[in-house]
Amino acid sequence: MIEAQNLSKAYKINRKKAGLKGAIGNLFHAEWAEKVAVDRLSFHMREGKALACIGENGAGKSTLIKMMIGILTPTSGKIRVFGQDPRRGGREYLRRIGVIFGQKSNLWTDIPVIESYHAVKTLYKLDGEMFRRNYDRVVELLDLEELLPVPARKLSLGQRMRADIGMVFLHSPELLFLDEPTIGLDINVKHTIRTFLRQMNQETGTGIFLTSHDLDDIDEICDDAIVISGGKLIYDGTLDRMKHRFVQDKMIQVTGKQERDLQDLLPSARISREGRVTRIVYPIQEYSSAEVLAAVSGCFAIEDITIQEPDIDEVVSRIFGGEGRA
Amino acid sequence: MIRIFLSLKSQYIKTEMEYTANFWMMLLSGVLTRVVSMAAPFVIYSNLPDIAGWKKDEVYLILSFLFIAEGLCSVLFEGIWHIPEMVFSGRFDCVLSRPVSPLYQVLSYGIGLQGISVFLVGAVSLPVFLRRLGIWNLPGTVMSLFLALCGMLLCMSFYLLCNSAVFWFDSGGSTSIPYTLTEIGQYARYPLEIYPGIVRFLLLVVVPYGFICVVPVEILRGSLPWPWCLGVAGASLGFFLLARTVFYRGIGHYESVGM
Repeated sequence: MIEAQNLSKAYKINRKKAGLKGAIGNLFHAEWAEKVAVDRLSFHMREGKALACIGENGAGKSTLIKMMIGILTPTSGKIRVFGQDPRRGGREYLRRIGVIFGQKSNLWTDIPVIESYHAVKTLYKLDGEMFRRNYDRVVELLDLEELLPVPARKLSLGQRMRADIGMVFLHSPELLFLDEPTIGLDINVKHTIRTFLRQMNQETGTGIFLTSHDLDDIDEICDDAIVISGGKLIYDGTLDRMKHRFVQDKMIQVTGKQERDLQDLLPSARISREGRVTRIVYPIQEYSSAEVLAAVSGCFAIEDITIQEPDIDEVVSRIFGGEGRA
Repeated sequence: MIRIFLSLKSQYIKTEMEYTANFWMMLLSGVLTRVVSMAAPFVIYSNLPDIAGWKKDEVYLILSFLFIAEGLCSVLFEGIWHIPEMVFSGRFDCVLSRPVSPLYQVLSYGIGLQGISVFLVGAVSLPVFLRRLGIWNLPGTVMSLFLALCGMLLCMSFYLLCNSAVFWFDSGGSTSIPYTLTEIGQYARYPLEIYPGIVRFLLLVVVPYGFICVVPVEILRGSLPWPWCLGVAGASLGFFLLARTVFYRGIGHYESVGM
């Protein structure tokens, strides 16, 4: 479905000099520097899959998405979506895909959501029956009924995102590009959106290419992941394998009084205390969670306990810190 | 397509009407600024018998054509003025990811409220001064309508051309080029004979306001023969094609924002 080979994109950026003197200098001659945003990426995504793209800020994720949509032209290398160059696919191609940029809305700001939906119907020249079917489905699954008569600018961020996601499914896209779709949303809305995306992916076979910072997003929606850093591909494979490869520790946090020494029971764990809270970081290869819990409950008068998986930021920083590369 | 265009526009008007005070203020300010600018020829003509052989009512006719073109553009094509903001905020990405002509999407965006009243001032004063000049007959009226529509197209093309310049700039948010150029256009409120040759050239070829308002009146008062109508139509069509080409070239140049 998506095929990238040695894909690169470099931007020319105007290097601004500091200070007023620099600014005046810039008026007369600008210095240009090249910034490589995507560096010889190769990967592919199969029909109907959900692929996550993970990377820190500025890693080149958005640039990658924009090249796949056809907004940007690659500096070198090859990108094919549905077997063709997105830049040449024109409107035919755009009709087959759907795009959501988390920070920008596709809805017409000043007009009621339902009018936006009808505008999409006309502008995409949708068949009435298909539109009706998709419309009923998104309204039901995303619970949009009461949002429909409201102008988009009056919606809260979560409502707006639901309406946006609903709109992108109206034309039955075969492939969806989502750039940070749940950024800034509360947990309920995130959940609704993830469930919906997963369901659409499985029921209608809509391919999903997603970038996100949120591990839960990626966990719940995607099966496979690519990780990019500084524009380079550093991982390509299933999500499970990625976690195993890059996540070696888990953490348990206990509140309560310690009654016996724990270090003897768990010699490889790192234990730190801060007031009444004890943090135990342990390597998952050596101890199972059950073992650790048993040891902890023997040593503490537990008031509260939580087990934490490292979140994506941690995984990502570990990957990018080079720790996991060995 | 046209139906959606009009329904979007009516939605925008409806939205603006929700802010009642603002709505009426905008309409009123549109009327006031234009009426004030009509006072200028009044003052001049109470001190001078004529300007380069032009009568007062003919100068008013120039203004009427200008107001109609500007007013219609503002009501129908206000979105053009949002291009710089769309480009710098990256919202242009959304425009490019829809399978709909980017030009259509830009034109259909937003509405200029003042335009309504500016258009109305022009639409009222045009027949009034046509009648006072004795050209309120069928050929005169038909020609006026045709020339006014050409003026609208020309005005829109010029706005599009100016605002498409942002695709080549890295100024980070604001550009005053379109405003500066349209300000220059305001010199075309008077007969071009009063200007030196270079300004006349500027107002006809570079900033084509001369074709929007002065040339039509020259045709109507008979100082240019009527086939010049075709010249005006040609100029507007030419400018439109030029602006459209530049706009799409600009899109090719578009680098988006962020990584």
